[in-house]
Amino acid sequence: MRKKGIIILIVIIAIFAVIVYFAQDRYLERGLEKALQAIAGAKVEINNFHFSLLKAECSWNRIQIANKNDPWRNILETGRASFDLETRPLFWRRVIIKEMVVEDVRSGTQRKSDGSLPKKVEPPSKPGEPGIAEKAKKALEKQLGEIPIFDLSGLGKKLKIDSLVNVENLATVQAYDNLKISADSTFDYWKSQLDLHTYTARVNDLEKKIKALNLDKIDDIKDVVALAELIKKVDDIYKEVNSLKKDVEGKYDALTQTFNDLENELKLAQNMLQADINRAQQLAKLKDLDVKDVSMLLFGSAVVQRTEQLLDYVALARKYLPTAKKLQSPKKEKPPRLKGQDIYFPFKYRYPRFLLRHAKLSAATAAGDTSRAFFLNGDLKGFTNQPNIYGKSTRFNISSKKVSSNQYEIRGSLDHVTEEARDSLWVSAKNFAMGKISLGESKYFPKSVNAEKGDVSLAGFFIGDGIDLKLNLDTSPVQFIFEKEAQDKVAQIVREVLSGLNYLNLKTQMKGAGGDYKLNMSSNVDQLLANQVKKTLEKNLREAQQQVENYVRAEVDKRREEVETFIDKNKQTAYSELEKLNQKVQQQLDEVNKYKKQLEDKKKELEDQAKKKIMDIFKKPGD
Amino acid sequence: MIWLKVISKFIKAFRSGESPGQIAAGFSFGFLIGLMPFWTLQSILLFVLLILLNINLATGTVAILLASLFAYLLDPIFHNIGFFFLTSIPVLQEVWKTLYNTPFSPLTRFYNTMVMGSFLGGLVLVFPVFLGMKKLVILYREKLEERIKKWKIVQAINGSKIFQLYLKIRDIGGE
Repeated sequence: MRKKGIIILIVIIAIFAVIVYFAQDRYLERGLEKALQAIAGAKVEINNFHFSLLKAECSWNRIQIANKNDPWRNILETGRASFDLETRPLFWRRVIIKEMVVEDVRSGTQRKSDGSLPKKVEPPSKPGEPGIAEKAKKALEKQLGEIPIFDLSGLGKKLKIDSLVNVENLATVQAYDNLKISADSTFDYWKSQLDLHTYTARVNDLEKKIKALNLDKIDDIKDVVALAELIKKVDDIYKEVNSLKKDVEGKYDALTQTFNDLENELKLAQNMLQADINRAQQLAKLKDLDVKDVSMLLFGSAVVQRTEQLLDYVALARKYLPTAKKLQSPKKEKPPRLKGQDIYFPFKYRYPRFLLRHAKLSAATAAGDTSRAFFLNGDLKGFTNQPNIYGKSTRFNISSKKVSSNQYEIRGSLDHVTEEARDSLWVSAKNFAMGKISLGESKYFPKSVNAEKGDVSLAGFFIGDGIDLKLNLDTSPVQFIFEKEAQDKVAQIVREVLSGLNYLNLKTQMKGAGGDYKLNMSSNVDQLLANQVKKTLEKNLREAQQQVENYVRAEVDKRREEVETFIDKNKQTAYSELEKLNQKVQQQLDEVNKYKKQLEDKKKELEDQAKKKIMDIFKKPGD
Repeated sequence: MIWLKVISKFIKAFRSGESPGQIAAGFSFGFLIGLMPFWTLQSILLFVLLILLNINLATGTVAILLASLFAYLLDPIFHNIGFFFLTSIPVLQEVWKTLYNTPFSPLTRFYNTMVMGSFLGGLVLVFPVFLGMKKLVILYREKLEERIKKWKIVQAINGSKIFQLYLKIRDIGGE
């Protein structure tokens, strides 16, 4: 052992301890600020951060997290916070906080400096599978875009229908076009089937056979045997003619069936007309003013905006609390020199990289703008960045009060333990001061609504990419604020109806999965406003609808007549050909029947003569 | 000047009073430390031992520098060796799992391919390095020292103003 070595070691340890003592807190504070800034997307400031490795405890006096959408306010501000770390997980570099106490938790507090971060030019990221928020936002915006334009005053004017409705896209027109092609090929087939040359040859052949029998000389036949032979030949010809006749009759039946089928298809095509008219009216944004459209037109924009904010929070939770991934055997990487690759082995302890087992939140006083500050009490349990390792869901329960006596309760559960995220959220706000809510730009509707007090309840379930979100709002008194003077009768009606309202009840439901989400809204304004507007504008609306209907009918009729004419023309030709053939065959049949009868008569005559001769033989002489 | 001092000490060590075994041990400890990433439990322990044990510190310091360069060049090989031992030998999987779940052992960062590869490489090379270094010191003391002193480059360095200046400064500092 070297004595000098002990001194060197003591000196090194002492220098290290001094550096840690003076620089550690600031270093950790900066690291934590940077990590939180990456999550919040805005400035995060921590005051008097302190960490003690020996005691495994940590604290700060104040933390401010700026609101990225409103950088002069904090989305979250806390007072003193302290917590103990579990020492054993530190061996695995896992940070597990046993219990955290956070005082003076507030939101919406005024900042002294701008909380926005300098904008970074981020490299274009690879397009991945869109998350629940992107899918739902896309569906919501599509639905908002499909709401009929509430500009019914223009309906009396002549619509440029031909530019609005593409005739070729109408299902009826497409059906008629297809039917014409189908009829065309059907008639080609029948032309080949009703080739008169084939049948004429067969008829001529039969005629020759009949002539060869010399049937006009029947009377010359005296021999019964010769007559019987002739009868047999005529019978054979009769059978042939009869077969030809049945063949022609069969063709007749088949042709009739073909025309019946074409007529049925014509009827089917015609049945699509009403659907085409409805679609064309929708394209021209002329569908009947639906009751639910009123709520959508009036509050859609505001509700969608807030729903999108909520979905952003759900997406944020899913980003930083990821669900379990399928276990895969490690793949060999090419790490930077001297860094190597970490290989992970099954870990028997439920130690995520970061876990906050329990946080107690409380708020006592507000700072700055007290009218906007909230005072909270709540719990946060099982907050971790590796929920699958922790094996339990993250739960939170926060109740808050505002100076002006608002009361909120927010409860939630973020279950990301398995591969499918299962999140739920309940919000209840009583006596909630809503203030001024912007409703968007519209010619007829108010620009905003002032709602004094209200109750809000929200229940949201987000399972995988499925959403079931219900929002109920009751508020009174309400005052709708119009920016412009009423310019026409419709605007006047809307204004009268909304001015007479003292309370507002709005029910919203968003439901769906896999990118197919529907937002349904209803309110006490719906029926009231829809009835008034419809009553006034019924005539204009009907006229415009009729105009579109007439246009579609006329275009469809053109195609229908074309197809019907085509079918009728071919029908007449086919039947007339078949009729000619039938007549010829019938003629042959009649002739053969005539000869057959003559032969039968001759046969009878010869038989009678024979009988008479026999009787003469047996007669007594002299009788 | 610290580097000159280290090199000077390294050369001096060859003819110092310390035994060839002490010099070779110092070099071997330094070699092991230099080969592995430093911030691991075993590297720090080896470093503490290098300081505390009565072995040559100067050769250890030089060995750390040389081995670090060596590790940089052999990095892909160490990564491959480490990956193979950590993932491809089924018998060892249970060992790694047990170690991974034992407190303190994660501080060795044995689960890192570079740490594992360089540690195994170091274990294999440390004994040949120790023996080779020991022989070199004996050889130097018996045969090479006088020859090297006669090398023109050594005489040029010894006679240079910078080296003389260094010696003066060193003597002022009490060396």
